[in-house]
Amino acid sequence: MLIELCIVKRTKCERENDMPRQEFNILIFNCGSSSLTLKIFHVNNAKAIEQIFSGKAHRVGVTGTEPSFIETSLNGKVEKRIIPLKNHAEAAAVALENVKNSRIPIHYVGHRFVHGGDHFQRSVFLSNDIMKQLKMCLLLAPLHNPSSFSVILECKRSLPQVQQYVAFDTAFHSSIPPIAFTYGLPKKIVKKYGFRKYGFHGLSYSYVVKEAARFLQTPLDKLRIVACHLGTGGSSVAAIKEGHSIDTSMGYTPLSGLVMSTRSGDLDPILALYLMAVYGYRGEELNDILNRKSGFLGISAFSSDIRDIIKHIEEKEEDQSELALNMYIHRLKKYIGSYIVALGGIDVLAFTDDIGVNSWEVREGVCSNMECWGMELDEKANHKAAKDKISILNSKNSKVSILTIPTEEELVICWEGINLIGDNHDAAV
Amino acid sequence: MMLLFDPDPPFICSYSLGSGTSKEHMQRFTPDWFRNEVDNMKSSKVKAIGYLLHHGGEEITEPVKLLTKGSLSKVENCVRFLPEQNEMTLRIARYCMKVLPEIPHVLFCDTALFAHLPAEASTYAIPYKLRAEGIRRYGGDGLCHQWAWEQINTLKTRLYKRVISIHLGNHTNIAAFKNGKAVETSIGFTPIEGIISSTGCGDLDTAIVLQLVSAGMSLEEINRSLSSEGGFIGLLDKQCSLTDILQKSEDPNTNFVRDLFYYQVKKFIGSFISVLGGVDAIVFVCDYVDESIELIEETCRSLDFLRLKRREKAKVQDDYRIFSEKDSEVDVFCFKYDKLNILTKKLINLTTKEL
Repeated sequence: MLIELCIVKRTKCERENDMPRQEFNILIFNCGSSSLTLKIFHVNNAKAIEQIFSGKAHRVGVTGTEPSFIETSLNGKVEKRIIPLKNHAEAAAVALENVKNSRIPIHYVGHRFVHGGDHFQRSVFLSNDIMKQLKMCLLLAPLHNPSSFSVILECKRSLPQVQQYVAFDTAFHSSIPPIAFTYGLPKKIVKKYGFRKYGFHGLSYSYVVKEAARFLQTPLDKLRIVACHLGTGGSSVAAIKEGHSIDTSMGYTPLSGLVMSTRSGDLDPILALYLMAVYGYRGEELNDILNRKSGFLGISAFSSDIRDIIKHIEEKEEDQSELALNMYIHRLKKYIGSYIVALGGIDVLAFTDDIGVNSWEVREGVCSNMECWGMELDEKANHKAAKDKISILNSKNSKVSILTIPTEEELVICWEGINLIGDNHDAAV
Repeated sequence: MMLLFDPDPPFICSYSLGSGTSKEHMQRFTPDWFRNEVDNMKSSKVKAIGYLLHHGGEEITEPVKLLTKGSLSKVENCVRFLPEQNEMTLRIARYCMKVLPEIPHVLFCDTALFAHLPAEASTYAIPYKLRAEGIRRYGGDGLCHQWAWEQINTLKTRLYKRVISIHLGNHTNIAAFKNGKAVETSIGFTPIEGIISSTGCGDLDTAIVLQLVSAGMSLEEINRSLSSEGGFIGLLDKQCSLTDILQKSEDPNTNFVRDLFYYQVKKFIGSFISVLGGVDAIVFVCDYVDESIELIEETCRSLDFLRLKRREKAKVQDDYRIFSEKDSEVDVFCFKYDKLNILTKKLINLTTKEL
């Protein structure tokens, strides 16, 4: 019996020894709330990374006038296929079919998982145990986690032999100290439910801070960075000291913090109770209102898209568009100020994701009248910020570097994978 | 004699106007005591009564206002915003106006200073139909912040255009002034939003409230956890006030709560500096001056990088202290706050002029 076990163990080790190939391909899945991005990276023996395939499913699970579709790009050839995609699992199935047709061998699959709760502080390879723990995290981010989980299951079905791993958006914020993550709630409630600030967009932040340090040729441990991840869905801001997150605007869930496209961001904690007690709202109704009908959509009453809102302002429409944009900027300025004090000063202000990289209006609003922090925006540079590479937006006299850094979450998931594969190799040896 | 009523905690303060000096009698409020007192009033020489209203809703937009029957109905309309306290203020004002119709009755409103906040500061990002119901940031403690602003701007040392005022008390909160106008406050729709207090949770992810609802807790239970069983006492699981956590302690848990509280105060100061585009003066208005020195000094240290030049030791002037050097770009003051005393003086000034 003993001998048998040893043999089994040994063969397993041998197999693991073979596993960390010199060259391999990683397939990355990134679930958005109504989209699914996939990319294949080739990693060579010098750990250089090359993207060899990309695809994106749009309007996943969205009922509307326009149909859902999936776009793939291989060797410069772009294909678009209109196909009903009821949910993320269906989108993943179609995407995996495309991957198979491309005949690119897949050696690892990496997934983004939004909320790892208290269970995960770093990326992990999937095992039965890990699957159980992921299942326990599903309700922590009801808009995101279940769809990622369904994509994982789909990959297990389609690529049963391939090792998979997950990278967490919450992991980057696990360095936030207790004074910043603790809510002022009774001890027994916190103990029972595990309420604390987790923070999100961690994969994006980890990319942005590394890129900022590389670009400025300054070691990360010498930088105090306030990074703004301003997405078309969710927006957040984080304070990063020596490469580690020390505070962020999203909380236990992605509902709190900045004004977002359909999420309210910060509210008076009593407000929900007041609405339930005085107007008879039910919990689920409020959940729906605050997550899906608030933010830009709630203020403007016509669109959740900042581009529409800015267009209305330019066309001098008489509505609440200007208020919506002013609120977005005002809230963001407040967070930036509070994080500068938390950091004891600021070296870099970084903007990323769709709104952060594309909207000069937002950046101009945020940086105006902020000279007190040593920031000075170069208006021309701000107008000209590139969409696909890092741009410097500050004037020469500015004490703070103001940058746009297009984010690459999939690349971070790939880096995480390379580290995991390396660790696995070391452990096996 | 002058009377002043404050519903939080229920308190009546009476001042006898003697020979030029005023004497103060305080009495915990009980309905019996109050009825007796009012009966005595009829025979004694009550010159005026002041009432504190902690939440003036959308309609009460003047900080100090002579009450008439018409304005009483406005008070009625804002009971819903802070039912327990506002109801009490309303009942007592109504009763006193009936028994003593000939004297001035004055309403002091704590939200009025913030009635004209810029829209981007007062609006929550929620659908219009909810905002139309009067759901917005009302702020609070306005009488205190107004007083703080007046104090430093009557010193005439400098013109302070951008001012941040911090009331360090059991409901610590912060306000920002630009050119004399209030432009921000840490208090929201209710005083629970903002900084953690001795029993209030401060800022919170609303998803937590909704999760507690779906877990089956009643609205009253949740309200208690957030308003009266949260904050310092919730974190430490024992009775605790601001003075217990303000200074370094032997107990690591108490120290943790102290650090957390300091951190929140600092962050709010930073966020309001952003809103103001800089700051000329920071005023701490303290219920407990000696205990607050440590926090003020630490806050000054954390703003060193804004060219705030600290004094080695605070300079004590007549009724205030100054923590910054003469050539500091930001001045830091600390005043002792005695709410009832200050309001009664206001009441005396106001009514004796009119009489």
